[in-house]
Parts: sequence; C-alpha cells; structure tokens
Amino acid sequence: MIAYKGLHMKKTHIKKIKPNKSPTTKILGLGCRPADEI
Amino acid sequence: MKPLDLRRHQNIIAFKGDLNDVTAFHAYNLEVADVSAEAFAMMTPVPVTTGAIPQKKAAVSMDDNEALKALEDWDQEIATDVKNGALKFGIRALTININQICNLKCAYCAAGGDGSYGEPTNQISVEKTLPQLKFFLSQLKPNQKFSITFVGGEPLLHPQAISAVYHYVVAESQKMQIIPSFSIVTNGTLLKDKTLEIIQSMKLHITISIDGDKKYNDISRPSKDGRSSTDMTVTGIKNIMASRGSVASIGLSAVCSLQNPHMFESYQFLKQFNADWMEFNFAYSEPSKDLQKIYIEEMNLIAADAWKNHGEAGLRQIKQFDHYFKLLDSQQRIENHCGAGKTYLMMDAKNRLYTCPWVVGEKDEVVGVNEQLDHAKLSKYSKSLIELNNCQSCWARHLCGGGCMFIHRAHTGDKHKKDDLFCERTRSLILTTIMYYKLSRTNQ
Repeated sequence: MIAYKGLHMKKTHIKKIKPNKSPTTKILGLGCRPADEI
Repeated sequence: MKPLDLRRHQNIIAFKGDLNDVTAFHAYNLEVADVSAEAFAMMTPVPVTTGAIPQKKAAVSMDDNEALKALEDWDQEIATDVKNGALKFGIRALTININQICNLKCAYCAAGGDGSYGEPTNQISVEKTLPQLKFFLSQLKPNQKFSITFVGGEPLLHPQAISAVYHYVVAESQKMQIIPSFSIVTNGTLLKDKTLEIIQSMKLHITISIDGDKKYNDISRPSKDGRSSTDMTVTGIKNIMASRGSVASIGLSAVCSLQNPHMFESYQFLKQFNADWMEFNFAYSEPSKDLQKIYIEEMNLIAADAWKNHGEAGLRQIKQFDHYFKLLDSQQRIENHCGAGKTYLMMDAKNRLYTCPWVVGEKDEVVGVNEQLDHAKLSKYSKSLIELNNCQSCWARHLCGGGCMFIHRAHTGDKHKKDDLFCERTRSLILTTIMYYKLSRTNQ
C-alpha cells in the first residue's frame, strides 16, 4: 500500500445516537400537566 | 457521574461525562450524539446559568476547520421527522379542586398555606360541575383524549364527589366516543376503609405526596394541628399498593425544601414502596441558591444510583428523567411548558376557571365560570411560551417549553420574566438526562 504524504483522512466528528421510537407508556400524575401529556 | 465542562456552538451543546467521553445535543433537532475531541475543542465554554448563544471560536488549523465545518453542517441541518409542538386552543385537560380544605398544613403549600387558597370551601357542587364537564366534552371530537385531575385541598376528604364526577364523565365519554383519563393528587392519609373502597372502584392515576421518612416529612408535611402525618401516609401508600391492580398507576411525589433538602435520602426511603414512579420537585417559591445547588447534586446522586442498580428502567422511574427520555425518543419538540390557557384549565371549588392551579382565588386570573369562557383573556395565552417568555436562544427550549409561568411570577413578579433558578435547574436536569440517554441508546 502506498501512503500519500499530505493526504488528509477525513475524521467522523459527529456520530448521532438513534432514538428508540417505539411507543412508551405515558405516565400521568401532576396537578398541572406538561404539554406533551395533553 | 454528572455532566461537566458545558460548551456551545449555536444550536449545539456538548459536555463531558465522568468517563471523559463527549456528549452533544442539537437543541432544535433533539438529536443526541458523540462528538470528537476536536469538535468539542471548537465549542465555547458556557455556564449552565445562561441560555444565551456565545461567540463562535475561530479556527486556526486545518483540523480546526474540519471540526468546525462538521459542527456548522450539523447546526444547519433540519431534521424533518421531529414533531412540532405548537398547541392550538382546545381544552383537553382539566384539574378540579374537589374542595379547598386540607387535613395537613405543609410548609411550602402553594394553595394559600393551608389548602384553601384563602377561601376555605367544602365539597364542590356536583350539580354545577357535571354540566360544566359536559360542555368541555362537547367541544371535543370522537377519539380525542380528555384528562381530569382531582386535587384540593385534600380531595379524599370528599370521595363521593370524585366518584360522581368520574362515573358521569365515563358515561358521557362513552356516548361521545371520547377517551377519558383520571388522576388524583392526594396526601394519602385517608387511603383506608370506605374511602379506599371508593378509590378502588375507579381507574385512577394516583399521586401521593410524601417528602421522605418521618424525621423530614413530619416537619414539611405536618397535620393541620401540628401532629405527625407520616404514619398515616405510609399506611395509605401500603394500602393502595396492595390493591395496585384496581388503579391505573401509583406515583410518589416529594418536594425539596429547606425543611428537607435531602432528596437522595428521600429517594432511598420512597423506593422501598416500589411505586410506578417517583418525582423530586424543588419548592416553587424557594429562592435559595444554596438549596438549589444541593438539589441538583442530589438529583445527580439519585440518577447515578438508579442507573447503577436498574439501568434505564430505574432512571425512568424518576418522572423528571422519564419526561425528557420520552421527548428525545419520540422526537417531540415542545413549545409550551404546560398547556395553561391553551389545552388546559383549572376549576376551583366554586366552578370558576383559571389557567393554572396556582392562581386560584386571584380575581384577575379568572378566565371563565361554569360553561362560560372569557376568550379575550384566554387569547393572551395563545402564543407559545417559548415566545412569550423569550426563550428563543436557550438550548433547552424545546425540552423545557419556556418554563412555569407561576414559578417565574413568584420570583420575578412577571409570568413572562424568567426565574433564573428555574432555568438553571431545568437545564441541569436536562443535561443529566441527555448523558444517560446517550448511555442507554448506545448500549442497546
């Protein structure tokens, strides 16, 4: 393998984490209600 | 384990965990990521006390340039699958003061200091309440959800009124094809005998307020006559836990106050009951920065202990962490901390309507009575809280939603002028959640 002097290898700077999009149980309880619950 | 060395580049924040890895978060796209040390080095250090966007760092080398370009590309991305959190007017949740009297006198009581909001009222009139509820149900379309939360005072002083409202709404909802859900917030001291039987006959989400073991709870949550209340509450928790199958869920709610700053100790005490969830809130009116510092440290201890012993499930047993996990997983941006005046109203024990439980009794805050709504007053709440509270630059805005108007007003005198302590502790809890979220989703 030939190494090229000066060749700049591109680095991965951002690696996103995958969310778990399967539905989760909603928990209720507060007297006032967060906006995602209503 | 706690988040350290917070940095920011436009919409992106990043911080180090104890393992020296770097976790990043995109404030608009709600994405969590690993970022390289080089990219982290190109971000500007910021304190957790501010939501302002700092000056960009200048690149001096080719490596800097590349790292900065990666940050800028990510910052500019628009994630198309993130859901918008705008709320249109339409009442889908009501909290009802079943009464305005209480058998306890909690140190931090936001309901006039004694559960009365300055206007002690026995049981709400069921005759007036049912047509009012029919009116709200009639505004909904089939298959929409409608939530009712019973509070007080102590609502279990009048269990028959709860039962009458519950069974009426269940029957009417069935006719109108509405999906109802019911919650109650109680001190738990009356969860016994006939009252327990009545509660068991309904499918309720139950929140029981208890701050910790006797030595703390008796100081912050004594009986009206000053006597101990803890044994009664603990008995109530045990009674309802024994009939778990008859209720929808059971949660325990503690408050961090000067009387009891020891939330980690409270967590250790509360987890023995094995409730579905627990929450640890900061006393709404507390102005102490020192207490807040302890609170944030204790919440990090709770998170570390829950994570170490039970992983994601243990962490998500804590309501605050679960709330942010849900938003990150569902990619649901929020624009409003709560639905006050948009999708949510509060009904006092005299059938007057307000936007929030904490303004009950304030004449200027009444937005309706019985079946009449004051739409001119409600229109003041139509803009998003992020906009009304001027949170557009804060990196936590789409997980926080502009914060609690009542807490803001209690500290600054203005609903839309933010309480700095509220913002700091909200950002701190969000950072902790993001740190564990990355661990959870990386380990999957």
